[in-house]
Amino acid sequence: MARLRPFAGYLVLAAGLLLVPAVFTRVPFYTMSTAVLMVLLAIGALGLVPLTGLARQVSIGQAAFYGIGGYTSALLSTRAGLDPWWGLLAGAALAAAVAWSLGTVIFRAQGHYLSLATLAFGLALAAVVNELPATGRNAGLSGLPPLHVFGVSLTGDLPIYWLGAGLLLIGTVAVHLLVRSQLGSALTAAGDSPVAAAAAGIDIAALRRTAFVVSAVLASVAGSGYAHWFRYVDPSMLGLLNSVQLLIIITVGGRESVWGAPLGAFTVVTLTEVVRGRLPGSGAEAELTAYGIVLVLSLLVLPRGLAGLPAALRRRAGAR
Amino acid sequence: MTHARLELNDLTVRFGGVTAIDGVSLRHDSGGVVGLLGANGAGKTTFVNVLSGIVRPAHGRARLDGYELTTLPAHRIARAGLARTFQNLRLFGSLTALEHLLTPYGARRRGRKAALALLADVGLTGTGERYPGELSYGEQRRLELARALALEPRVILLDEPLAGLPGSESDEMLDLFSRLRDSGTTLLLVEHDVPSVLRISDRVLVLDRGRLLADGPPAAVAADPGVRRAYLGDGDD
Repeated sequence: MARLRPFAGYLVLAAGLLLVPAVFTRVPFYTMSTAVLMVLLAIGALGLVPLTGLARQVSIGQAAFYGIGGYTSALLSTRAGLDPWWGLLAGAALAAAVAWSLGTVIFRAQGHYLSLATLAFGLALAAVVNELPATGRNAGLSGLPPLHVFGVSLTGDLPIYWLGAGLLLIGTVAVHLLVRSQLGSALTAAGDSPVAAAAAGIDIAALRRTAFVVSAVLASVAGSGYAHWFRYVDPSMLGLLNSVQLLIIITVGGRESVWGAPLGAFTVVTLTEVVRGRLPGSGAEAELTAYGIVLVLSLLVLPRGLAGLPAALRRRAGAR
Repeated sequence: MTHARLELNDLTVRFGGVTAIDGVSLRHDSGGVVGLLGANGAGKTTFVNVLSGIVRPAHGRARLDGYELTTLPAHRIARAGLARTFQNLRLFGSLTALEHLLTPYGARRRGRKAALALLADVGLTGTGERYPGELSYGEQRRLELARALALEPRVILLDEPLAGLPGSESDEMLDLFSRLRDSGTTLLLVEHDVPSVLRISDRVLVLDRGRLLADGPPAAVAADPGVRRAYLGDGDD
């Protein structure tokens, strides 16, 4: 049975993703734009499972990688005329290289350096993008071409949703395999007790760097997807709020489980839509208020997130 | 059988103005159990920490079979053949007992069967799928020892492995140490339980405020007037 469990999880996720268009186009509250946003954010948040869930390293600058993906795609497709897929791949490679370089420096030291360094990196990159003529300054870059699959142009919400859903499924399987591999065990060990893990011969710095690179690549892919869906990028992509949103998604959904990313994205995007226009303040302020409420509630009621709900219910039933 | 060769030369560790290890020099290449005694604050745990790469010395050197322990990072020291346990248990709360034994460097290559055999060796048969929180304190101590052994170390540093164990479990642990010694592993045993250390050790070191106060066979160290005065609390002899 235990061997079937991950496949059952994949099937449930695939079934859920297949049902989304049928449901979201029939209920008044959701739209396919909401669905696209959910899958893209889920892809971005998925990378935080090994980094934050297992290795317990918090990055507050994932939006920088989201932006690297988006801007690399935008620049290569609009300025160099390259196919958008090359932009997506180049963005992922650049994000990986940046994360590897940052990680090499940051993870030499113990402590909360990743949080501080990624926060600083994210803010600095956003400032640079906001000032550079090549990136269109605060006006951003527009006129991005859509992605193509087998000659079919992915314009509109539904085709890009199917692409995002497919990428999310592939990403989920890949991250799940990583979590269940020796690397995943070592990351868990490093998260539980870095000192004991090092004494067991585990290279903590290299491990954390690997997890950071994985998270950067997935955030970049999500950013490229967003750029070619929206056909426009601007510096708000790299905003702190986007980094916080990814962290909240994985916390609400469950940071130790790959199922936490889609569950968290669904919940947080739904909540964002619910509060929009209902809470006082601007859209961003209302979102922040909503994030704060959902984060506190999640940490109090479900510290392991929605993905940990079945285990929590089993424990409660067992305690009776 | 060739035993591990451990050489310390003027090893000194300072924390701010406090000298925790003060110019310790020694050489050991005959295997067996080396007992390390000392009062609280004598520098025993710092001694273990500096050899395992958790703290760096102010000066001096420590070498294991040619590896310079004082410059290698902790994980490279472990891979060089030096494993350790901790005074305060440091288990991986999210991993099962079996996963604990498959996670150390090189353990996955030796496989699940070897890990299960190791669990049996330390008396933890049938606990492979259990998490540390589901094990008794004594079982957790054994699991930590097994995790260190999964590295197949040449030297193992045991930081108060008998602390908090009832008498019977303590005796079983000492039997286990004897078997490890017989298999050729060198053990450095840091313990407060003086009779147990004197009984099992082939060589005893006594630290007093970071300095090596005595070094020799258990009987000679136990009879040393300086040791009795400084550590055993017997100044009248």
